[in-house]
Amino acid sequence: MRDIAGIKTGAIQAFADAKTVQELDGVFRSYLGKKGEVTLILRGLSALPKEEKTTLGKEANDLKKELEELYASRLEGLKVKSAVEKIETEFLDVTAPGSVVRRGHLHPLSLMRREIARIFTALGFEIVQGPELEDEWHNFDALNVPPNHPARDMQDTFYIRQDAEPKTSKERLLLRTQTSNMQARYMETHTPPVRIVVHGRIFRNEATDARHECMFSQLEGLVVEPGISAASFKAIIQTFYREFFQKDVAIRLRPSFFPFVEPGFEIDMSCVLCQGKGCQGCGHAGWMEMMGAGMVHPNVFRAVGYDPKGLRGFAFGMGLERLAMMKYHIPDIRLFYSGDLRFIQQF
Amino acid sequence: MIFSYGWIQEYIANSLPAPEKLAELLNMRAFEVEEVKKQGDDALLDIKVLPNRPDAMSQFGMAREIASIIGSVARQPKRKPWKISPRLLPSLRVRVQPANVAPRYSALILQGITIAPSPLWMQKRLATLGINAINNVVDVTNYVMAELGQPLHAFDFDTIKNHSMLVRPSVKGERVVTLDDHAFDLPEHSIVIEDEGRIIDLAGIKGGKLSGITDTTKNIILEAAVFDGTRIYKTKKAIQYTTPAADLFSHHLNPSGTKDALQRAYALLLETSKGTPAQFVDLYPNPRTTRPITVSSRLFQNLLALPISDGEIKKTLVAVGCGVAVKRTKNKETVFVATPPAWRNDCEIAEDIVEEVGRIHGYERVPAAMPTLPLSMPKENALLLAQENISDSLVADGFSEVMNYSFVGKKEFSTFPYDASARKSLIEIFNPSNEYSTHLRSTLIERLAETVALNRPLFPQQSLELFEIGETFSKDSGAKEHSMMAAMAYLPAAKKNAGFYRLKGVLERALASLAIPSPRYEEFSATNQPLRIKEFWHPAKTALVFSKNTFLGVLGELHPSVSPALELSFSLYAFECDLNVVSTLQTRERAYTPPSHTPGIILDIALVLPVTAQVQSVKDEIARAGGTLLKNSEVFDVYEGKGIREGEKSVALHLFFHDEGRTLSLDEAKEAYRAIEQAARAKGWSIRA
Repeated sequence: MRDIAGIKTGAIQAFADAKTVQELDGVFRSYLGKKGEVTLILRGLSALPKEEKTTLGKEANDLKKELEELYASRLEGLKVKSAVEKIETEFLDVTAPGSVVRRGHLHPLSLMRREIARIFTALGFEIVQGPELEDEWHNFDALNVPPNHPARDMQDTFYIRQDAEPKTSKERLLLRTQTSNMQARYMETHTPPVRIVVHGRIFRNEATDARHECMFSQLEGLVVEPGISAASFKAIIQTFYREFFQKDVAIRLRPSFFPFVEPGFEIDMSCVLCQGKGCQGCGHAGWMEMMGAGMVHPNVFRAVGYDPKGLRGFAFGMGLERLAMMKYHIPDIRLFYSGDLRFIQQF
Repeated sequence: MIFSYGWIQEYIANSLPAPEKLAELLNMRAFEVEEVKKQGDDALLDIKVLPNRPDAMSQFGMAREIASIIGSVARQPKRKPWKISPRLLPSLRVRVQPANVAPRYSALILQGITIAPSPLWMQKRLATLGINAINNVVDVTNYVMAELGQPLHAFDFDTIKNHSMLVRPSVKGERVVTLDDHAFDLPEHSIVIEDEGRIIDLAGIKGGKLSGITDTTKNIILEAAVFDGTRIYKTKKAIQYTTPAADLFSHHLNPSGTKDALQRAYALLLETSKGTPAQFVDLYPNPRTTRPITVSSRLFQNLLALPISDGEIKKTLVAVGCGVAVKRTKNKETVFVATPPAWRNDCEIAEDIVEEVGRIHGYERVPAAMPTLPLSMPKENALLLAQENISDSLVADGFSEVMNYSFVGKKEFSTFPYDASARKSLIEIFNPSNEYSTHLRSTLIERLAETVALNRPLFPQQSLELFEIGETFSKDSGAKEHSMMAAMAYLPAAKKNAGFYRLKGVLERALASLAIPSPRYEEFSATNQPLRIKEFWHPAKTALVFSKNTFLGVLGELHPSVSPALELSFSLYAFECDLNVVSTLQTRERAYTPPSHTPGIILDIALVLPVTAQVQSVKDEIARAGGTLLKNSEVFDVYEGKGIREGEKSVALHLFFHDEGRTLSLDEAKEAYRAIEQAARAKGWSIRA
């Protein structure tokens, strides 16, 4: 009888001694390959007497199974070992640049609009837009701007050349000079309560320099609800600026004059750079002029067909570029419309 | 406007706060102070008086405003009433036609004036405000205007022909020479004064050369009129010339102060000259009245939420010069009946009265208090939602957003292939600021292309991919204004036509972000879609984009003339779609389809066909021939070149065979595949091995 126990002892030792996958495979072959020791025993079984065949067959098969399992577990161990050993020979330059995955950039005024929309939507405002090509009535008359007001001048407002001479201000077309045209348009088609924010392009016939453009983006708000007052306006606008600048800013109201509001306010915000202490950014005033605002003039309500009795509203408007200039430290308003990607790609 | 701290102090009994403090107070209560400047022992304040407050556009007017803020009283400067000595001089006949060119025309005629230098104190005061001293008469007119805000003018009585003055609108083309030797050709809406056929005055702006005061003047007409503000404003703009008087009149002066101004001038003139009042003219056909305004105390609460007592309200109204009566209604509510002071133009309605009280009391006392309002879900803006999703998709694809001018003009007309009808469809600005901005853009394409050209030297060899979302304007459609989105690519390193397919993919991904299914494309030529300036596009390399049957826009290469005109070496590719249409197609609906449990079979086929055959027609033919087992075909390669004959191309597709509910056998798939091969051959296409 072959020495199964001896073979087994030798095989276990040989498997244990194999240091690489190749060596291990060699050992495996020498026992279980075509001409392997165990394979040969199994092949030679048929020539043996029955009794011996049964005993040896069982022992040899058990050994085969045992060695196969041993091989599998050793193989896995050696693979892990070799992978781990390989680490020591490997190198990656982590400072070499990543592959260029190009992404585009949103215009800073778009970023600004999204941020503003986010805040005002959370406060229950509807975001609306209106026509840039507007009639004189919605841009001026409905907003209580007197017929001969300087703002209507050719020097300030772009008018449209029309085939037929317009007879009324509802027929006369112009490029809107303020987003306030949407106050009139929205109220004409909606009944109170009104809570809207408007943003969009406006146009002024002005010479351009670092602080002036003939095209701007404006942000406008209008609230018409029973029970609101200048105190509501102050709280809402303070909330807006706090959220927008992520700073605990204060605001103050000063007297001002706009035909479509009464009383009218100029709104200052405590300087975000110096927290109101006074710095170069705010001209050492501690305050920055942010927007015009006021309580909606009863004539505006009348113009859009509301009964002004007992009705109250507030409106506010500000330049988006100015807001962006403050937020992103942009020195020249002309950059916004320059198309220069060296500017756009920084946002 | 410049104000003298020392001068203002003279009218006010209490001492003023220090100049800086005063400036801060004015900022918060009335007007913005732009600058405080020390000047000797005086301080000058540059104050931006609000346009509806001409009553404060003078030293005394500002003193009156300040007095109401600090709770003091401004003393009126000394005036001298006159006694007329009739028949000293021939009677001056003044007519105002029509009456509305001068709501009030007052004049005092003085006989026996001696022209001399004005007193030194007056010369110094005028110098403070930058006004040169000339002589006693002219200086008094300037001084009183600075002091009271009522412009005065002095005529030499003896230069007026026939003792007749007609105040009237100018006729276009009339000419006047003013005291400072300017000759103006007048527009038709100016106001002039004519004696007997001669224009002797550009009323409200500058005196005429013909009637001015000279060293030998003996008798004068001191005019204190209020001219129509609109006419004065329009004239000064038209002739591009202004004076302090014209600026004041432009703010629609209150006519109540002309007589006081003349009495003040008379008093001052007597310091340096004799002079006997010979006639007083006062044409004031519709005297201004101040209506009492009724304001409920509740309105102060409702508008401003001001913590203020009825007593404080009354006190504040008195301080600004209102007459006040306090009443109680039946419901025990306090009501104020306030009569605004005569000099105020701007107090007309109850809200104006609330404003006066609010600002003098202090807007800083308005609390910040969130309103208590019913919750309501704001309506979503579909256009903005589409805009944001598309922008995000384009940005993810590497496109950067620009915002270009809404105007086009000379440059675009020479750069882009405009024909006469394209030019005509543009909306034209009546008063453009320059020749480069004469019309409104009808498409975003032009400015985008120019922006590419502008950036090309800044980013040499790089591809430039831009987009814009904005309004365009056109005459030829029902609506004049359209919200458009457009993207453009300039790809120096790309293969021929690659830009087209890149933009096609970018557009499809952008539409997919709004759950709009893949669009279909039609050839550009022979379209009757309402296109914005068809001539800008390459006629053979442009497609119309549809979603089902809805026309979305255009995708293609720009006309080959555009790149060279912009000094670009390679073609420009772009798409432009109507954002409003896109936004109506977007949807939030999504529905889940479970993946099939049975496997399908994918077989590839490559066909060789003429280059002009459309891939879509191949797909259509395959779908027709493939039967029910063919679920889908997907083009994965289109190839021209080596191995393929000139004029032909190879189109390779994956074919997906599947049968729901059972496992398809290869033989079945191959049978369908053979049917496809057969159909292809029938079309004259060969199968590439």
